[in-house]
Amino acid sequence: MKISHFIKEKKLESWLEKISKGFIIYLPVQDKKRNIIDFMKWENSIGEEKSKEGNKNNNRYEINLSEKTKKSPKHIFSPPTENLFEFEYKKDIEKPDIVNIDLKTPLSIKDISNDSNKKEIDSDRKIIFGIKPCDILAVKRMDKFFKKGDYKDPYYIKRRKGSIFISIGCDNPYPDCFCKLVGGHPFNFEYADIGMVKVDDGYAVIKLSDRVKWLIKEYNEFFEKEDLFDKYQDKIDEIISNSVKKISTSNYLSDISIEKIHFTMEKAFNLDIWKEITRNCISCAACTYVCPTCFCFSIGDEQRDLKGERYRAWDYCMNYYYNLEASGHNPRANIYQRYRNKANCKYNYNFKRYGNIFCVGCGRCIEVCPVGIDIREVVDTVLKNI
Amino acid sequence: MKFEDRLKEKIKNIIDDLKLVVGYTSNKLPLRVKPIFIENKDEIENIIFNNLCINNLATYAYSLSQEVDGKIGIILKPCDVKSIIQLLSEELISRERIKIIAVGCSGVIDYKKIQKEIKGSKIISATVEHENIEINTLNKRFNLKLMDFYADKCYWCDIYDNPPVYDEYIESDVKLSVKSKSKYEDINNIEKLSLEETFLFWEKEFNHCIRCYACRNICPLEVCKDRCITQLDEPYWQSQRITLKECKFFQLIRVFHLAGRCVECGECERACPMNIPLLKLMKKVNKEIERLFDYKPGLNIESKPPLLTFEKIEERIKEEELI
Repeated sequence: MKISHFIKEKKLESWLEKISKGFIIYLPVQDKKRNIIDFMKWENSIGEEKSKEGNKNNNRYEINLSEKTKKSPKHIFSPPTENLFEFEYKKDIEKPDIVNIDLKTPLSIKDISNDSNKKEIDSDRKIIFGIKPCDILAVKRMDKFFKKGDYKDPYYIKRRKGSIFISIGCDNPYPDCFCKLVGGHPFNFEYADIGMVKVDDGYAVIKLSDRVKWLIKEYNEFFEKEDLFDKYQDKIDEIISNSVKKISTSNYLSDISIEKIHFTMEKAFNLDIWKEITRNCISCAACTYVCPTCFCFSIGDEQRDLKGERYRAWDYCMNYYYNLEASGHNPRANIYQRYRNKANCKYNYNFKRYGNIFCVGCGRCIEVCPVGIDIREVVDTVLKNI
Repeated sequence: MKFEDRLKEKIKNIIDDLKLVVGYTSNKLPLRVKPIFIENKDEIENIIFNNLCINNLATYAYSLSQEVDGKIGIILKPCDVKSIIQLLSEELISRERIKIIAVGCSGVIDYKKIQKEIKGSKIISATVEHENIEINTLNKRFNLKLMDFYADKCYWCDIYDNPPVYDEYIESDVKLSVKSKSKYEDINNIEKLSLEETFLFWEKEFNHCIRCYACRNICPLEVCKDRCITQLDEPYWQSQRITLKECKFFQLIRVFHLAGRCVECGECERACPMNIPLLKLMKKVNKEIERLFDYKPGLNIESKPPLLTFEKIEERIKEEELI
């Protein structure tokens, strides 16, 4: 892994501030008032504070590149709620039998046309800064659901087009991170545009894709000269191997085969153990909504008089109503059935559909569950009981 | 015998008459515990009880009573017993279905308070000693005074060694010794604000709500979560959008549904992934209920919640001075 550029930590914010003039930047921000670390827009958080006068020591927002965000960055591409279109019935008293509907959508013709494969960066220029390899992998998984296949989602595609990922590898993973067990790697920069490693007092760029070379070249004043690279180069391999060692010492899911787990999950479907290990579950949506690959949504039409909207909003399979059929029958009326479906969706069904396990091992569901459910423990226990 | 051993001994003696016992067991995440459901004697060794047991196991009382035949034993702190009493007073479960295994409590640590102190950083490991907690995050080490990080409700608790109702009671080794605080101090700060400022305060909080329903689902008294009016298709009372307006609407429904029933166990605030101070809302509503009806939920099986019953004449409400 050869270092191509290096930026000192104290210059990072200035670089971002300069870039923020031409891009919307999303980055992981620690909100000290709410005590949560989440992806926020630069202009709504750090950028806003910088533009104000006053005491810089009492800042509410601070960049936090070493910790994992509470929610995943999926809300950037798939927001919790959006209007698909608005409609209005236009009535003409002279011609009462004719139905005219005015349709308004946030998409333009360009968005729904078929040449959405352009490599150029869209005018909606977006940088996702500080995103970890697991989250980028999750975006690629979501791409399979929203972009490939028979139904291409123009709303998602519009938001996704031209996004630049500047990734920072995980030199210090949490105990509940398990990306390696599901085919990931804390320094996997395959899908990142820029990949950085934290070394000493700054960040070393070890991956730089051609289409964003200018992001560094044109802002050269923030980056260090090449003759300093040697002292950092020797440390990179050690940092990466230490991180991998740390993340591989998990107690669960130590020997799953990614290619074969869907077979074993299928065999385990009717085991009684599902009822026992999901007893804690209160079937809320906390794990679903923080997960970077849970993509389910519900669509609704709301109309008042002649005007209305069709919206979609995040839905969660742990919901009692998720599978309730129009007949009144509910095939997943019990919590254990719904949790079994969730685990299978991640490790079995999506593998069959898209060729990948959809769980990326970020561990957010484990952190956020109020009753201590650990999906690694569940899958491990089930597989051991076959 | 040590407290935990006495507890396990007691369970061993009574488990044959019970279909199921709900207790606490250890969790790999630091400073946390999780529920365990045991049916046989050989699982009893996994039960623990210590000052990390903040969860309210009464959450499972109603759903278990529907799913399982026979008696269900639940290990409950005295504050959690109040949830069971409220369920009993509303006749949502019958007395003979539940074996209340009350344990004397010496206070529980609120891990979310600690997370707040370290500004939301992840707790990688923690060591609890007699008077201190040592917290390790990725980059820093913190040494905190244990006494400052108990759950808020512990600071004004007066039933920690005196549960209102029980079938079995295991006395604690240690006395609760935290400096007592005023119960409504945090509410007073909001009450001082004008109506507009209060509204803005709650708008700012609910901006972050993702309508995950963790608050509703973990509440022992929200027995209607599978038939909730906010999620019904027919009739379609509420939009399923996840926006500030809809989240506020859902929360208002929840708060009024619990008015005069909530025993302030604090689980809703603990479960919220977005750190919204939900308990403040419930405390304010309960304060008003107490003022208007002289009623405290969760203390007496015979007394009925005022909003579920009516009197022809309400003693404390003069029609000319409703507010």
